[in-house]
Amino acid sequence: MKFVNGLLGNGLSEQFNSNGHRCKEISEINFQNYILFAGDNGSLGLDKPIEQTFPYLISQKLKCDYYNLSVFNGGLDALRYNLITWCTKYKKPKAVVISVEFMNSLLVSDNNFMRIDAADYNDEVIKDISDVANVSGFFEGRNILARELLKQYVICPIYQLHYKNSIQLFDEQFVTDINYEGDQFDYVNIANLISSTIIAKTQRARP
Amino acid sequence: MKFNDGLIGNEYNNRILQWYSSDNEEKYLDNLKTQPEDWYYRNATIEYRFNDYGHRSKQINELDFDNYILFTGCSHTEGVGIELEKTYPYLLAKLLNVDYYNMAVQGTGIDVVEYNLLSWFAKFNKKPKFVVIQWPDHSRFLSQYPGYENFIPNGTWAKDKNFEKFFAAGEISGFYNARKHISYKLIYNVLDVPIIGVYIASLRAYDGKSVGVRRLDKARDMQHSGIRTNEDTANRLLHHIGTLNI
Repeated sequence: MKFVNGLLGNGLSEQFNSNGHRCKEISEINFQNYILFAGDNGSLGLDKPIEQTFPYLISQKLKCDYYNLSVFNGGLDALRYNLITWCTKYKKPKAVVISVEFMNSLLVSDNNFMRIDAADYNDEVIKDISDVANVSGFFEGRNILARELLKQYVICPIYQLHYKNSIQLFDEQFVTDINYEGDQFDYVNIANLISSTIIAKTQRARP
Repeated sequence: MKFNDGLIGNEYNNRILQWYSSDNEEKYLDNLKTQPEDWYYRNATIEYRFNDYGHRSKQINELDFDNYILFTGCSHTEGVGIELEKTYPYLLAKLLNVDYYNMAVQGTGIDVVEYNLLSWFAKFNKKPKFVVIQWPDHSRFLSQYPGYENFIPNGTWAKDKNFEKFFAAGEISGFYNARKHISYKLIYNVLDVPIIGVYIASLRAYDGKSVGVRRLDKARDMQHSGIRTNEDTANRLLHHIGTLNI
């Protein structure tokens, strides 16, 4: 992971733009008509060409542009950081689609903040942190603070893709929760579900 | 700690206390036995007056939003163990002839600092002239258990074996570094006013540009910074602000 232009992105790879995000450059976005994606592995879809990822497919179906802030194994910290920073710096999107597989991911860094990475769960020390964070109420506290901050900064409709067995960040009063129990790698199915939900919601909102 | 109308404060909102946090009566009575005859706190009393938000500050609707500075931090900035008029936020505001609001809460970690600052900037259109952030111990965090209203602040004071393991692992792994790195950068991304950092000399500094608190004396609880230390901090901040062209 790396910080570029104030945003947290993935490391160097041809799959990513100059900010480390799997989409076009920010300067090329049509800010009048775009959707913002944020999350981790699912919305990155690194196992498929970009044209087969669900953010791309949704943007085609909805005939709009998109930006994808997703960070591999970034979890809640990357989501919170990127979404709040984006909403502070850029014109608000038509909608935000949140998809976090690993809400309780942990990030690690060195003393001088030269690097930031997803923690390695094979490391016993990380397992210790994760175990205690679960029973001590750390994760619950972190989720509540992030949720309440995001409510204040993300001022547009939020769609939350909710995988089977994943942690739901927002309750249904604040976002449109899209419960998905199918194959996590079936991006066509996920794209159809999210686009049809957005279309239905948008049509319902019109007089 | 708990949410009070969108900001995190202590659970004593709208209350006046004689004792608070580590500044408790039992410890005070013990200290009376060991402190010199002329110990200032043999006679002086302290009033802890908390506003609607559980902050040791005036009510927000009494704040001069056209001319104010904003403080946040932990008990050192809240002024545990000293009178309100002796705290460095009060003294600095007086030296600068501005109003101030102090969101500091005892036991605060970087999570509460980030939450309260970002919430303040989302909630109120009128920005402070600058913000003073006293960076807390990076190992502190808030816990929440389902069904409970209050958060529980955790820090190295926790004696539980699990927590001891957590604190050690957090240091070794770089987990605390990442946590504070993200919050620090996010605060700088969002706040569009000058930020002045303060750090307690015994804790690890967050950056190389914050003003250190030199411990010159102790407060009534014999744990926190005393009157001279707060005066010194206010003066050092005033000097530092003078160099920043704010």
